[in-house]
Amino acid sequence: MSDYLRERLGELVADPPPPTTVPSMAVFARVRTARRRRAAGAAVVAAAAAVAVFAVSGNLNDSKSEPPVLAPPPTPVQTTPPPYDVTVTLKPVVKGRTVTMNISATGTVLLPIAAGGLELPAQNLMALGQGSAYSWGDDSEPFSAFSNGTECVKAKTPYKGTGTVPADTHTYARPGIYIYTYRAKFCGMKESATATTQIQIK
Amino acid sequence: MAGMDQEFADFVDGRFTALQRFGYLLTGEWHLAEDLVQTALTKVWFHRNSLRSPNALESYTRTAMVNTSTQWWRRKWKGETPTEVMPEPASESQYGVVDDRDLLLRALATLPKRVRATLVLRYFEDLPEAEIAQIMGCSVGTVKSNISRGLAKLREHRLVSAISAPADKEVRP
Repeated sequence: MSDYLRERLGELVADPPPPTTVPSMAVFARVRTARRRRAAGAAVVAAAAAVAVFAVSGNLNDSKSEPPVLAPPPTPVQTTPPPYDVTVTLKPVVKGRTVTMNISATGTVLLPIAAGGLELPAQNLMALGQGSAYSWGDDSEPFSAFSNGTECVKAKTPYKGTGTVPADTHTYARPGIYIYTYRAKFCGMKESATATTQIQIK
Repeated sequence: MAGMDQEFADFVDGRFTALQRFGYLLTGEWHLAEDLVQTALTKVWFHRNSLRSPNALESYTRTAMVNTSTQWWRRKWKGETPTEVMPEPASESQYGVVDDRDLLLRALATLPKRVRATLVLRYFEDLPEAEIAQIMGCSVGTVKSNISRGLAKLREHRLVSAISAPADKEVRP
């Protein structure tokens, strides 16, 4: 398979057209344009900052230019590590015998460590998983792909967020009632996040 | 233009065609691919001082290309209309190769952007999963998921129906 696909992809890009101009000149032209835009943007920000300083200075009291005390300072709150948990929501859309499964999730996990030892940035929650598995509940082959979990060993930063998986479609061969199961694994969670839903095909 | 700028210019001129090919497989159009490469290289130029090593330049550019193409698709690019059902391919003819290319391109267009990028990095650029995870900014598990999902989707299309399921389990470390 890999050779087949590699060969086909190679054929697709076998005859690239020549670049319309010298590549480095085109890139540096864009760099100059971007610099001009950034400079213009910085001027606007500086003007806004000056206005903000002026507005704040008007709110100072007479005593050593200190701001007026409107309320007592907030007391520090003791924080405890959040419970790591992810709730997965399944929303199937049935059209005839074809089902489109929309999968979303929300929860708190630990950011995994990538191959280079760097922590992955906060992003779509589902992209932070250690892998997933699902079954359409019929004769089709269940899907499963998990990494070995070593990326979680040094994970330490909690991340609370939401995420989605690209919608997946499946066509059932026969009418019936099927149970779709989805499972995903995240750093910080002892058990996988799982969800099931019943699909009725008429 | 001297020193680092010259090095960057040499990198751009030397690797442009390879990056353009990668861009074509991400976008499906040559002129968009050229635009994508130039946009990504411009972003990279502004961050070139924060690169861990000069060798990371190409990897960093590919990351910028994947992210930029995804942003384009989210924000404005709706020119391609992915379809679940592929049109009937033409019968055996002298244009068979071209037809196959077109079908593969259309099949790729039906994949989610990041899944498509993962497949291209794996099967065209021949990168190991760990490096793909670095470029995509996701975990190795997600890379494996995307590869399996992408192959499963491609297998649904007639062109790639010749792919046998057990062989797809082949995943390099």
